[in-house]
Amino acid sequence: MQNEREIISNWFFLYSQDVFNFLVYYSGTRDVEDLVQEVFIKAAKGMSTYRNHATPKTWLFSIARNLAIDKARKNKTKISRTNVAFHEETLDQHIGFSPEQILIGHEEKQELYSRINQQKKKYRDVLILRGIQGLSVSETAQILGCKETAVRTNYHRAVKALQNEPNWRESHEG
Amino acid sequence: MKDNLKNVQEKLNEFPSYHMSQSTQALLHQQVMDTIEDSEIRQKRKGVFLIKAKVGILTAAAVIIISILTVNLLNDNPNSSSGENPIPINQDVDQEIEQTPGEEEDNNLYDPLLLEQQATEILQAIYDHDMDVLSSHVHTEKGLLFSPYFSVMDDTVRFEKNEVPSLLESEATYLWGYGEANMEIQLTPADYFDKHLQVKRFFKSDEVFVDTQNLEVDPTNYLKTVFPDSKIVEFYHAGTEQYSGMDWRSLNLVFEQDEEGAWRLVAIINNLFTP
Repeated sequence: MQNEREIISNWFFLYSQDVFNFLVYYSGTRDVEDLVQEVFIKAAKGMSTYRNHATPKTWLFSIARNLAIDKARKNKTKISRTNVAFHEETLDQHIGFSPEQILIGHEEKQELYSRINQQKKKYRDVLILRGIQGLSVSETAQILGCKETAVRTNYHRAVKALQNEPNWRESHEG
Repeated sequence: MKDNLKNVQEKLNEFPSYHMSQSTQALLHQQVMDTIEDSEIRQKRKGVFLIKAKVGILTAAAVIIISILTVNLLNDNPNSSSGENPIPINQDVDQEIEQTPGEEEDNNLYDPLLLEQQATEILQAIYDHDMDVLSSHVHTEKGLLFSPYFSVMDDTVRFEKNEVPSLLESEATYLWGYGEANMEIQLTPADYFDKHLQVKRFFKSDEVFVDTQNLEVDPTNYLKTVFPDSKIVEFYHAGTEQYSGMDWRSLNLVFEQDEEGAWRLVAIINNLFTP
């Protein structure tokens, strides 16, 4: 039988790039190596809760998502607790998910990505997981811990919401 | 219209993938493995330490028994005057054992993220009516307690772990508590789940508090006094302006550690505005 370390080691080689790519889009920065590392350490510690997930990949993604949310929350409180005047640029980067320009050189995509980040959380979740990461409905549902129908509905509405925004119409219909 | 939807979807699929360089990946892998190994070694050391501590306790106990016997023998001898020394020694040893370093820390070890994840899985299981999954989270010795309001009494409904899987099929009605105007809440488990737990709305909670007192609704930290050794995950819905905030609701999942140190569900407690 494989021991915990071997399992994590295998998972690392199989999924760390996927986790990295997801975290870049989810936290809006390329500086996510620490988070990737934390995901796998956390997975090693919490192996006993794995049984409820169908695949290691969705389990790792759900840990990654929780960690990213937690980190964004912490950054938010850190800023609000310290009353030091921050440089505006730094402030922007640290409050919650305030994505940097991760798509430099892809103006149109960067613009679309910014609008994804302005959507409500449940829409943003499905747009990143289902849309950008290309995960299946059932994988997305497992990661978010919700029903598949919810993923379908939210994804459909989220895409519609993106498309119905005036900027998008102007540049693509007019 | 459909074409436009497709257009957006295609655009999303075309987003570039980001990758770590091979060297970064290898470095991170090494660091992850080192951290896991370190914590394994620490745990093993702790194990060895505990064995040593046990051996120490046994030795101390033997010394104490022998000294008490000796004292008794000495006391039997009318010429002996000193006979109370061994008892203070006994106390000292006890205190030392109680303060075994690291043990206290170990007992409270938990990961807020994993606990929140476990709580969400439980929510999902209740929503899916998957009582087998729910029962797998229940504390073997303490069972599972339900209360529709923020009160836990001696007669609050409680089920054993092995009763949970068939709970929703049960036709029996229970007195779960008292509602508005002191009306008895007499329902079957299935009806109680449906009418009082209302898990669905908590998937979209405004806040999830993990072992953190929610000052808005529980300024006295009531649940912690009922379950002092617990960790509580509270799904909280703030009220809306329409009802001046009085329509807030929360669902508390109370966890306690089992013998192996795993956090198990012991209570599901709803809370809402009561006039």
